[in-house]
Amino acid sequence: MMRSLLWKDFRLNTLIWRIGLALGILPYLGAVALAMLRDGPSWPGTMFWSAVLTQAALLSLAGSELTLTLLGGNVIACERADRSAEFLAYLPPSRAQVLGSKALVSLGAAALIWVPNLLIADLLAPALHDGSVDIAALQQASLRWGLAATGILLFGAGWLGSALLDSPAVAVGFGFGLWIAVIASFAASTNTLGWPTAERVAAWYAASSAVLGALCIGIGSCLYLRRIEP
Amino acid sequence: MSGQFPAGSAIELVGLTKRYGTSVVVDRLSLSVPRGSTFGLIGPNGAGKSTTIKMLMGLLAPTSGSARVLGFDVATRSRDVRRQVGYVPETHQIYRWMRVGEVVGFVKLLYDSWDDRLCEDLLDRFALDRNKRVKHLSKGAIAKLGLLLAIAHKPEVLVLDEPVSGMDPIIREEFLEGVLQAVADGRRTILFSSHNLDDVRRLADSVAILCEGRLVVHRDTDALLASTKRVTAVLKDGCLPRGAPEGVIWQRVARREWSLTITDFSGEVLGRLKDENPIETVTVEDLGLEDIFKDYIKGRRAVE
Amino acid sequence: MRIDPKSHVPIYLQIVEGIRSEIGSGLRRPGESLPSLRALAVELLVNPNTVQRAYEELERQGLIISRRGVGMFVATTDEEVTRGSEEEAVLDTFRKGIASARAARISTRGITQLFEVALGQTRRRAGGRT
Repeated sequence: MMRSLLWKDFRLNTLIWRIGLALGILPYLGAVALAMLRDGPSWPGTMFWSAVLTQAALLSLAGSELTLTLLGGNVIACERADRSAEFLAYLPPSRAQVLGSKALVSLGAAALIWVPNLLIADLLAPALHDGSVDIAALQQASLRWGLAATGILLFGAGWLGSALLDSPAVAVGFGFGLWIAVIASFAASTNTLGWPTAERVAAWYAASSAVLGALCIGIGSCLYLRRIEP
Repeated sequence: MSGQFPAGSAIELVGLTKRYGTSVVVDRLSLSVPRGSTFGLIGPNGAGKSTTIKMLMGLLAPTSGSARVLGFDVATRSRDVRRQVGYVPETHQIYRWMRVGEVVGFVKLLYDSWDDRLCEDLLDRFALDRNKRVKHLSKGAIAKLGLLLAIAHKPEVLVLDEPVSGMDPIIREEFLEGVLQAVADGRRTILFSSHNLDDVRRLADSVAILCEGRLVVHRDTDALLASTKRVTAVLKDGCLPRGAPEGVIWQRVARREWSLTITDFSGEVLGRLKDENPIETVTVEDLGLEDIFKDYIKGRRAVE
Repeated sequence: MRIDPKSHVPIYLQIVEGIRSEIGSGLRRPGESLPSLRALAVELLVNPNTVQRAYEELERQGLIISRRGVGMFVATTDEEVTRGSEEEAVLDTFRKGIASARAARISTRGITQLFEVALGQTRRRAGGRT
């Protein structure tokens, strides 16, 4: 049963997989292009690669935030947009199973985005490192928390929009909208209230984004499960 | 014929109601469909047939009342209902991007009772091309695919919502043959709604007429036809009818002619009619299902 | 055989009449099997329960016979049994007639001649039909 659902949900997001692949790979292609431009026909040294790959990994994660937003907004709403949800509604799978399949596919996508990039940034790049540049500064590990939290928020808001609405585009818009609202409220509050340090702001931003994102996923899921009409 | 159907009802509706704001689409509908029988649901457009069917499939939440299918309460055990019921909706929303073969492969794994051989049989019989995408299928082919998906898992109950509406006569025949071949074996229950009264006459053991959300009549098809008659009485000059007998579902007076459609007709009823009214001559005729249907609806509407 | 859904005659009776005329016209011969419930239902596009009702009625009328586990067949046995008993009845009448002739001391040849005369008389009365 789940096999059918997983296959179906995988196929439903084909366009998003293609976009995701492009966004994920682009920084690495950029790195290769940079190498070509800089050193001509010869191949650059490993230190170069160490630095550049670390940057590319970060850019890949950043670009993939779009992928996650698109996924969140599309994953439920696409079946409502073309009314195929009505077909699924009279088949045996429970709403929990249908939703579970979408969650698994989304989790798989998130893993595919993060795991390779983390491996490159934390295993490959350091392995190529020769100590001449401070890699830690390049890794900007603290930025990762921010990216992860933003990812959860963007995906979660899209997921909520997807559960409420029947247009994937609007749901994606809702995803971005909520994120922008969070950013704006942080900007406004730091201006008016004043925050101690940049790190604190970053920490608060990450924490609240993650929590808000998780909340959105929870609410969206509950709403979907309790609805009777497809 | 009463001992023919296995015990228990396949479908049971009790006080089923659906309200949208102030308009009542289905009004306190109660009926029971015995297992193994074929049940025809007829009514004018907007009578609430589709809404009723969606409620008994668990696709729409009723405002009040309950529906049980094969003993399962649709509100709480809808999964059990979906596993044992094959449903053919009026408009199909099968994933348009899938190929026929992919649709079959997708649906197959969702049912424990899927019969591969039957599925292959039906794909051949319905001449469905496995490689064609659903969006490229003709309307008739999609309908047949929908039927295949509904019967290949050998359901106990088959529910069809206006299955042959808009079909050309050849596809309609192929579709009905497909239904009869695979499902109609006296043990399975079929419920279908239709505007085609000829089909209802041919296929339904019992028939129910819905009008403006209310159940007007629910009867064995042959019994309904045998007991409902059209009486045309010529009235004496200058006289009007005094009282209509019980069981009149429709009547009309035009000049000296008083026409009535009477249910549960008998010699006694005719006698009483003649005794109580200034009648010169009277003729009694049998009616087809279409006339009976129209008279029930006209009679209802005259009252409201 | 065609079913008319517009007619008020119950469908099962239309089927009974249809099969009866098919048997009568020789389209269905004695001993021939009838289609299964499902097969006839599909062919006529009617409810199999209706076909069953029709078959039950035809069986009641003695036109068809059900053979357990095999299906429904056009009746022959009934015909033969009737035939047999009719012939038995005629034989009985002949025996009684012969007994009376013997009692009147009529010879075998005499009996045969008397029989020919009677046959000739009934032939003339029936208008030339044998």
